[in-house]
Amino acid sequence: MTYNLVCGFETHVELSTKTKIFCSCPTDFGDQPNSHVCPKCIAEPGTLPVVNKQTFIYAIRAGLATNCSINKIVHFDRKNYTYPDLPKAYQLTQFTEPICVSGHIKLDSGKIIRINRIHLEEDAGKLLHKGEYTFIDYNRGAVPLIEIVTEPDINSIEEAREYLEKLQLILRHIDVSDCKMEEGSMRCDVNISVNKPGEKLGTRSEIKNMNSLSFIEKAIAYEYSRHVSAIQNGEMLYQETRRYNESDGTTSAMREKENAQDYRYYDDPDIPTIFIEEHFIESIKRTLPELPADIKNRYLGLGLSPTETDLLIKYKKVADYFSEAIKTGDPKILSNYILGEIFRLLETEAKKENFDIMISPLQLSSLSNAQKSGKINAQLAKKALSEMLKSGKSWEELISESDMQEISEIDLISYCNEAIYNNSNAISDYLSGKEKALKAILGYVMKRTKGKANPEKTENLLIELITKKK
Amino acid sequence: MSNILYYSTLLRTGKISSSELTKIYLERIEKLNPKLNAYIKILPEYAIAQAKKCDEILSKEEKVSPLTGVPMALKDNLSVLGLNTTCCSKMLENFKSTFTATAVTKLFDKGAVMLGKTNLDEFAMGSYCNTGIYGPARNPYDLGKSPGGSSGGNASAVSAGIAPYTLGTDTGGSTRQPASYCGIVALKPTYGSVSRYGLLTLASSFDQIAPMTSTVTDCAIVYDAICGHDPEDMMTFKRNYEPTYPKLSGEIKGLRIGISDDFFATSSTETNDSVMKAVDFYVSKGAEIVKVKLPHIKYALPIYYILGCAEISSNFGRFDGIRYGYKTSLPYKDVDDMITKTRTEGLGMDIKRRIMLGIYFLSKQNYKEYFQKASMMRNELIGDFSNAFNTCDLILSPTSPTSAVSLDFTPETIVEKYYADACVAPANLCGLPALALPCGLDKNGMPLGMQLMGPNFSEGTLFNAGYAFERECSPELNPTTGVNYDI
Amino acid sequence: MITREEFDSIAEYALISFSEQESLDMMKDMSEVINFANKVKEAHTDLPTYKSRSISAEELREDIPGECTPVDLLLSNSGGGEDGFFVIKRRGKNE
Repeated sequence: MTYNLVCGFETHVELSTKTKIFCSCPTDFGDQPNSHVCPKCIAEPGTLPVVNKQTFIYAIRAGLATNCSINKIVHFDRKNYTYPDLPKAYQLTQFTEPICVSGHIKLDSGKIIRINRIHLEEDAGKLLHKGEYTFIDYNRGAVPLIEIVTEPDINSIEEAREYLEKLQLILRHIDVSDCKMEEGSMRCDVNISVNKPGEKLGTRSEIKNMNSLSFIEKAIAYEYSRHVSAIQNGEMLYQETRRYNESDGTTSAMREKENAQDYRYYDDPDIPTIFIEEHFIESIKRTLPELPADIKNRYLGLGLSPTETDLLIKYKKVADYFSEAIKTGDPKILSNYILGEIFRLLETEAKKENFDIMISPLQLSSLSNAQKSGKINAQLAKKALSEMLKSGKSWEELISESDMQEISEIDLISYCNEAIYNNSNAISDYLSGKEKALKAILGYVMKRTKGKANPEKTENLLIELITKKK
Repeated sequence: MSNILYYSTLLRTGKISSSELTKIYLERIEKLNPKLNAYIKILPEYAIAQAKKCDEILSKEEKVSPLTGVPMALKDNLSVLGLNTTCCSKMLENFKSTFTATAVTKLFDKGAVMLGKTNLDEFAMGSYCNTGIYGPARNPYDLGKSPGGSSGGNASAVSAGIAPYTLGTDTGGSTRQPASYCGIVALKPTYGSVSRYGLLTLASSFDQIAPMTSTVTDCAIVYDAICGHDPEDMMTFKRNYEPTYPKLSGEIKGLRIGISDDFFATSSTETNDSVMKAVDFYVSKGAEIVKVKLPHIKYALPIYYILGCAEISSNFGRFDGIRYGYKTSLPYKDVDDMITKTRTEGLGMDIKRRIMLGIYFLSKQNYKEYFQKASMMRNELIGDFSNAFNTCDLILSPTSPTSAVSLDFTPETIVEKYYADACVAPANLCGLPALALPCGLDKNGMPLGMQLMGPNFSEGTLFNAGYAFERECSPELNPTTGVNYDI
Repeated sequence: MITREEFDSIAEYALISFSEQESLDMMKDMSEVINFANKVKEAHTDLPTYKSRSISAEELREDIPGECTPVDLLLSNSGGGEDGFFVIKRRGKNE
């Protein structure tokens, strides 16, 4: 490969505020079309925008989480163009003064992907084309978006994927969006060009509105080939907007109108300049949830493997739960519980993301401590966990209720004596140096006690008794 | 004679009910409106229903607002829930508002009774109230003359005695120039002191809802009722809005009145003489005259038109026939074609011209030279006024260069029409309050008007100065179609 | 004087069409106004562009859901829509 791939992203993320950015309509989508719409959402003449404070808080959170500087003085601009999904015939956005600038995301390799800006803007309505007709639903109109623009720092498809996954993870963890590409709460415009190392940047093409990681990878791959092939064949490459064709993985140029648009940006006169005070930013900084990279380091420091930590931090609710549980419990055991039994019970990714389980972190941590201290063995713990997840009861309650209770010391001694009595061959083998023989005796005790004996304890007791008998 | 106080006294003392008063006005409207075309929609049922509610309140409550039970009219670019708001345009001919403008709600809450909607130039763009789809309105002093624009219907109605007071809108003098033509009072408030929510926007950073009344006292009462911060309009100021009406004293000793020669340069001798007589009056009462210079005033009109057209072009993009308004009935080949036909058929030529110019001034290649430059110059002009107001409390000038023009007057060029706004547009450009009131008559008995402009939130000072003049020097106003105020 | 090309481009953005005579008249009118507007070019200034007054981010609206407009009322100005949607026929005639 003699040509560099140069790639940048403009990612649109829907903020999970309760209301839209410029009016008080709820953002959760009603099932019915146009059920969350007010005169402002359809641009009835005489309506005016009223900015939602939470959008600023979320945008600043996103900026802080990606190492951006926060602009203290911002305003909104009008981006003028006509399209049926844009009622005012202009989109309110932040063209000249974005709320956050100059941030970055660090990839695992240590490479920095620079973020040029993060700005607030409003989403457009949804168009449904059926035959000769277009049906318009403005529920999504004016839902708040942040647009995150990177520098063209990405040089491989793997880096592209990693950047987007890390961005998703960060935004989910700081609770500003659920970043679900398949549901449309995260969409990407991909900018691609190629050049030879050391030469200036090539002609850029933009693929708009991509909502799937795998399609993005395919689109980048296709574009790279297309650019390289064009250069090698001496063909012209145009700076243009293209559309990804899901059916065959190719891209095609969009109409010229979309390419040459003059948006006639200017300051929106209906919204005052907004001054973001230091204390406003500070209070957001103070309440900023822990970032995924920091959580990961913390978990690694507790002796968990990278694979385990990645799985634990994938969903915020899981990480929150786990972080709470390890305050009092054993990290390794708790990790096994979650990634093992609990995830098995939850089955789907959606359920894992929701992590709605019947037991509290404290209850789980208590179980892990019981297992660690030897109060209950691993098998019993697993059984207990399964029951706990079904009933919501604590392990103590369950063990006292059922026959899961570990046998008492006295009972154990009698079982051991019985074992010794009934396994004289094994005893002689053991006494003559065959250490393995002990396992057979242990197995006998475990069988007799239906697993309720603590294996380690039993083994020690057996050794003691055997030695005594000698 | 303060209509509001006069009627309020009658209502509160039980000498007349709101329903009776409203009926009297509806009869007057029936008699005179065909000559004037001041109202484009009369709403008898709506008005009577409101009046009945007021009568209940008046019979029960001790303390009521002076506005309770007093009828009024609204310019037809102010929204009222459930009613047509047409802006006198084909584009909105059948459009029904789904909410009520805040300023209107405030009046309704105080018991105002709405008689109907008044005539305006299409979408409030114009100076003679003759571009709307319901035909021109006429001046009560001379039916062959224009009542001014764009709030011509309002001015005509108040002047002729068929509306005790009205609410108009002022973007570049649209209430003050008609006030001058018709011999009534109008205040363009400080930008941001009255909510624009429900005002069908023309130019967002210039528009203000403005009371148009028969006297300064009425103007103060209405302004006090409609001003205030509104969460629905982010540009309204949060502050203590001190009522101006209780402070009217007419005491103007020591008032420093600024005079700028530039404002007299474009007006007729008759107008200037009339205004100077007012100056003499003020001096005789202890006011001080200060000469002020506004070095950048010569750029005011070009700036106003550049910025105004730009804002209009952006605000009017929404009229595409999809969610409301006129839809073309001609066949079309695609959505853009449908929208184009809709807009071409639904909007008047004046509107189209401003949209085209606005796009020109905002386009990439012209933005820096025109829009951006105009925006910087706007700051210069704001600075000029700010400096001037260091040396004076208000600036006195003519409102319009002449008295009312003839209905069939057509300016030779478009720009010639613009020059008529020389005295009034600067207030919109700089967000300053400006009060227009009658100061004399020309040789044909047509009203002449003067304007008092002050720094932000100086409405109290303006009203007081206007009140001082009005109570002693109000010209003998006698609209030919008017009625006397004895019920 | 505004060129025919500029005029046509602006009319496209404006989504307005003009007859031949209307185009000529409009171009003449526009040129006159642009000429008038050219006066600002003569002016010299060091001031920044006009910025509206500022408010603190603290004063912005709280994130509390409010009332939405009932769909029927919303669609009433557009001819009723269909099944809650605004409808446009992409080609043909408005019904």
